[in-house]
Amino acid sequence: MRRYLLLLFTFIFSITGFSQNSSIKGIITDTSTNRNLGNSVITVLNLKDSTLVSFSRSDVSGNFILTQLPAGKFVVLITNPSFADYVENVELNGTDAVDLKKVSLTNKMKLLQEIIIKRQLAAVRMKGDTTEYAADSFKVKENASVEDLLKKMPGIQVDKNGQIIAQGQKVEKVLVDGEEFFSDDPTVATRNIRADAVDKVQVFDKKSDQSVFTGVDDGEKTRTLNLKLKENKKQGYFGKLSAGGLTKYYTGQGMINAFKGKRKAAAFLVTTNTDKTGLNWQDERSYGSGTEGMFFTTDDGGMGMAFSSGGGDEFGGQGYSGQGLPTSWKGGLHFSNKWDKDVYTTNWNYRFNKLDEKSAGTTFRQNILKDSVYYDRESGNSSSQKIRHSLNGLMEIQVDSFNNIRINANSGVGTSQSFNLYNSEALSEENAPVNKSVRTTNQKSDNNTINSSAIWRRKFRKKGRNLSLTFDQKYNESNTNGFLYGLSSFYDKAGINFQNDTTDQMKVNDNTSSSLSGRFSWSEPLTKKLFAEFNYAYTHSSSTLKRLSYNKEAGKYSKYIDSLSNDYLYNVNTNSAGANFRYNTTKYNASAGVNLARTDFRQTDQVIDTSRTYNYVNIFPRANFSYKFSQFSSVSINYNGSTRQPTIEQLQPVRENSNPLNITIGNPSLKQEFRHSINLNYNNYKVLNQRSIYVGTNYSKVNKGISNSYTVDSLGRRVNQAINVDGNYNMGLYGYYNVKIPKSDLHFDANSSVNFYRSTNVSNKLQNTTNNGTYSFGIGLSIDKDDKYEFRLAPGATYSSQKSSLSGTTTKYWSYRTNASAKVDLPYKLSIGSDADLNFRQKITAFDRNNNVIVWNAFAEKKFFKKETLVLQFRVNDILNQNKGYSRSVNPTSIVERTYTTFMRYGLLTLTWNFNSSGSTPPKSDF
Amino acid sequence: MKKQLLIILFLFTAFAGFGQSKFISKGRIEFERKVNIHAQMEGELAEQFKKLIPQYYTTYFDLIFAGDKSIYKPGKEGDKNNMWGRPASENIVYSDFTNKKYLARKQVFEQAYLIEDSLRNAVWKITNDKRDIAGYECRRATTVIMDSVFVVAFYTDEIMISGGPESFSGLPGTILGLVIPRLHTTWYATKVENYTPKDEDFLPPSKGKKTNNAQLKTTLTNSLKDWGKWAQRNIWAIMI
Repeated sequence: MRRYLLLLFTFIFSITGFSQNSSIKGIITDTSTNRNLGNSVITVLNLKDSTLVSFSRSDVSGNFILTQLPAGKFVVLITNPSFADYVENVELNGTDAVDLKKVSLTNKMKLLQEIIIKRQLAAVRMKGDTTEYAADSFKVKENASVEDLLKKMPGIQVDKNGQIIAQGQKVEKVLVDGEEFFSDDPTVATRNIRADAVDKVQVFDKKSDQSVFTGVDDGEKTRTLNLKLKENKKQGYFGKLSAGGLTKYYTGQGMINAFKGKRKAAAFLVTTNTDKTGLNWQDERSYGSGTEGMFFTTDDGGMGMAFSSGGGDEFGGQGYSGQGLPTSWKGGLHFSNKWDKDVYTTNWNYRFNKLDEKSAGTTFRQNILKDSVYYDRESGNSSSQKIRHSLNGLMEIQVDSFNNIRINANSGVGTSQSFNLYNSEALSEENAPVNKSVRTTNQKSDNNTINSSAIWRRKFRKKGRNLSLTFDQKYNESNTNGFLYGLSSFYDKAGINFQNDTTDQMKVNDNTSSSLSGRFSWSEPLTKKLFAEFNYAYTHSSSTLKRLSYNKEAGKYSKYIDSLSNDYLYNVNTNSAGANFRYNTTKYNASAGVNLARTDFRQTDQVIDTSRTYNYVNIFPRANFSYKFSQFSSVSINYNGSTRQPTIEQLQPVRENSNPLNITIGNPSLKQEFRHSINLNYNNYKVLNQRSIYVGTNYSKVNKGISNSYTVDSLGRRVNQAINVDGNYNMGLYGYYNVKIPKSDLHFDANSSVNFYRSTNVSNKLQNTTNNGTYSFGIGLSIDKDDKYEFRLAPGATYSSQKSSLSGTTTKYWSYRTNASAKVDLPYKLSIGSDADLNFRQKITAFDRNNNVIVWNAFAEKKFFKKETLVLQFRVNDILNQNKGYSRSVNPTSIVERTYTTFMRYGLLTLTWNFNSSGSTPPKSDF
Repeated sequence: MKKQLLIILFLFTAFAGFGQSKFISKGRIEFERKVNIHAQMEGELAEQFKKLIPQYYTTYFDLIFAGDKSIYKPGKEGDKNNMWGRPASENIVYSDFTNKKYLARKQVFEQAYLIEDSLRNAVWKITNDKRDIAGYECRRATTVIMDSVFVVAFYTDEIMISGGPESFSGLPGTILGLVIPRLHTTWYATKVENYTPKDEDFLPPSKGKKTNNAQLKTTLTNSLKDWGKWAQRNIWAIMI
């Protein structure tokens, strides 16, 4: 009995669970001709969801059989291209053999049709294919999210993962006012938008993006939920208030950004007397003018991107040079808008900057002449104030998909004043005084600028054909009024003061420069691989520089000094035309081109009314070749030729005596320089192994290079003038390697560079050629783990050598720099971090002091509230109090070391509050 | 009315097509693969980018097939700059439908892989929507691969082989249109040519690190874990 039972059990089990032995067979014929149809497709679909179970084709005589079918309810779909679909429902038990016998195509037609159950309730309306729910009809709690609201709506279910089922079908997309909200994850919208911000919820089937873009319906439809926001909730604001201080240091920041749709208005005010004088990158983007990313196409058809951050003047960025102690105020207003389907874009910014700076410093200079050495020592104190207002505006019109017009204008008005006091002395090799001087300068200046540009870009239907027309205007004027008072004493070899000079002068410097330029460029695809680009540009620029000096006479600065005064006009007209060809293939790109430019110069001395005209015809050749080993490895080589024009200050034949012991005279016969540059680069990046290698070398040679000539007379007075020299070159080699150490989160990097350059100058009428070499290398180890901690240690060393032909001496020294940083997130929303910069420099001169500096900073931070909106931070700058300002430069005939006042140890306690309007949805900001 | 119209249409097509159905068992299909680059861009700066670069990155592939095998490989030259493309954009896929196996060569960043695995066991949902692609009437089928990537395929039963672009297969006919919305990518056949493949056409791809889908997924997940949301998109693009 038991055995029978078991057998029965097995039998039942096999038919219900495992049996896949049903089969369907039949023969397919054509109704009209009674011909048997081969190659017809017999498809078995699940009845409940029409998923494919099995398929087969009929043989030449129209017979078919599908075997090994499981139990269940199925649809048999028989298709043949020229016939109507045949559909029949079949139920199988897992063992049976169903014979459909003769299946005649065309005489039966059934269509699978989706049945959508539509419900109609109060507060729910049907509008065509759209079901619309009025959000206010459903009661939700205060602060509820959209997800909570949806759960209340009939026909909509939300599971614990946030997945939404609307009218029986999964919702793939959630839109906000018809636009995708941050990501294709529906919960981003439903969990982040407050229920009370929603006016209506609409459910419909949306055509795919592809079909909207291509205009070709791919048949795909996505169940979509659209949240229509209440008009008054499309607007909102966010901002930040921050205040900090301790002892005599303080910072204060207030920022707000208010938006409504695509309209954005922002304002900020920042003041501090620490070294953090500007907005950081993130704040600049949120509250400032925004970072203006400019995109351009490169010669090889690639893309480039250049960033410029707001401001764009001497206050731009952090604004603080690192020397001296600043007190800074910055304020800004921003407005931008886009309308008419983004056809019009406008962007306006106003900036106010005020920077007061006090600094003190000492400079030592060891001058190396042919057969002697002497020393200069100068200490100075200065205080300055700069104020500037600037306004810039942008208007862009995307006329249609082929035409784009962009007009940009900016202007600025500023004043600055400064007071400087210097004490200097020149010492002979024996440390005996040669001269001593005290001088003060006091000056005030106004500076105004207006710049504008307009660009029209036209694309054509033919791919690669482009036209652009650019117009540029620049105007800058500055008027400076200053006073110079100086006392110089000169000593003979015996140390006896034999001469004293007094300088007491008023200086008026008026400088204006303006330029207008137009450029036309046309690119044309000659073949699929060969492209040509033609351009023409015309620039007219005109500069005047009026330098007037007056001696004091009877208590008034009225005596005009001919030898120190000049009024100079400098006109330059440039016509440039060129062509460039590029050949692109998948493996390599080659391009070559040349621009021909004729430049006409006219220098007019308006005091003695003489003028000098000259012109150059320049050839600017360029060539580039790059080869791709793979998408992640390539080598490229390129060459170009370029000129550099002398500045008007270098040309104007007048003595500039703001330091009577160090005078500069312009050189009206100074020529432009021409530079040939060639460089070779290789890169290789491995994504999977996270390894990258960059290696490159460059060489450039300068013809008629602009350099300096100076003479020092027996009284230690120095006169400088710009001259042209030949034979300067520069050669460099660098390499960078970065790899992730396998099976760890540790990254290792190494870098190395070698640089040689040769420069020539003239010192006391003798030519001096200096050969410089610097060799540096460094390594780094870093680790960071899921934003929990990050550490980095990077030591490096540099060896410098310099050989001067005139003195025959070689200066060599090592310097070492190590940077270490760490940041750790602790429980209770605490985080701590620290960084240290260690600088050690080998002594090279007798007057060198201890040059080893360790700057160590640290901070601790605690965040409060669920959304971490309140942050309390304590930061200590330069814990060891070693940050003495120090810089060293080794020049062709001198070694200069400078020490200056800068920020040393201080602590700062800062409280920052980030706020935003509730229920609002901030505009997209990440790229 | 609608029904009557359908019947008329039906009779018409049946009549027009009478005796003309040629079942194709060998030949060459050219696919145009288009990636909508603009759709992948987000944020403020994207607007500027979009003005400068074309919306689509277009490349071509050939699917050569005969009997029970097919090979999918890069065809005529399309857009050159793959700066906006993805890894694994020039795959060669050899499929053997009798043994239900495929061998694919994919250039994944710096590494070329030879992936040997069985054909994907996708659960296709067959719909009644139809549309014409390259002169063939195609039926719309959908599936979800890799747990969450929605795929739309249009296949024709006039072409016998159960293959299609990349390693998509398993339908009662050949896929002439493929749409993967998440990857903003479409493949549509532009022409079907009468061609008798030579043996060398079916030379399976060689050269590359041997792996299978499971191993490849592990490697990619480890290597791309710092890429945020781009990691998933790249993994999908490589693993299709």
